[in-house]
Amino acid sequence: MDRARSEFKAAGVGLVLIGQATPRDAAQFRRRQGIQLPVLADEKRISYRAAGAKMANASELFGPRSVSKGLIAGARSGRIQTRTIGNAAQLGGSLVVRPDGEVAWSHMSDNAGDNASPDEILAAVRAVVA
Amino acid sequence: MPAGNKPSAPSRADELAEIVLPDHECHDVRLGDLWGERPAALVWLRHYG
Repeated sequence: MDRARSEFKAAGVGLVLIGQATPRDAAQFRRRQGIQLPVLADEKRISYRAAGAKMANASELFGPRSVSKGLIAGARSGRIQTRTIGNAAQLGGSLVVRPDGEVAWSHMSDNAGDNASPDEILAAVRAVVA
Repeated sequence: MPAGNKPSAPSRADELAEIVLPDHECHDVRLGDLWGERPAALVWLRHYG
């Protein structure tokens, strides 16, 4: 996602990451992953609930679909998952919000491997600003 | 949301707009300010690991 930040900027759209831990954890995550995007820290997961993010059950975390997608994503990015910080059952997702507060596009994860790609989010962003 | 349910994103971000979170430098950010003047994409990470 961080690699696509210039394309989001060119599209005139803000991009921010939100994680479920402390600001210190967020800073370490940025350093470790070489991320330049802003990372917000939501230790209590208030925004996750407001965004409709899902809590996964065991099969949604460790089922074949989730595991295979995770392995593919890891191979593509060249990054491996390290120690989990936060609630491991908490899934994430993505929203694109217009200035009037309307959610123009969303993809909230249905299982641990169900994540929108940067290209999918960029396509949604470009449709909003077109 | 109970485990196993389908995720459901809101149609509007009004509730999200009032949430204030610290960034990686401990500066408070009101989410609504992110899309006040231009669209914004928000990505919730599953975890930092």
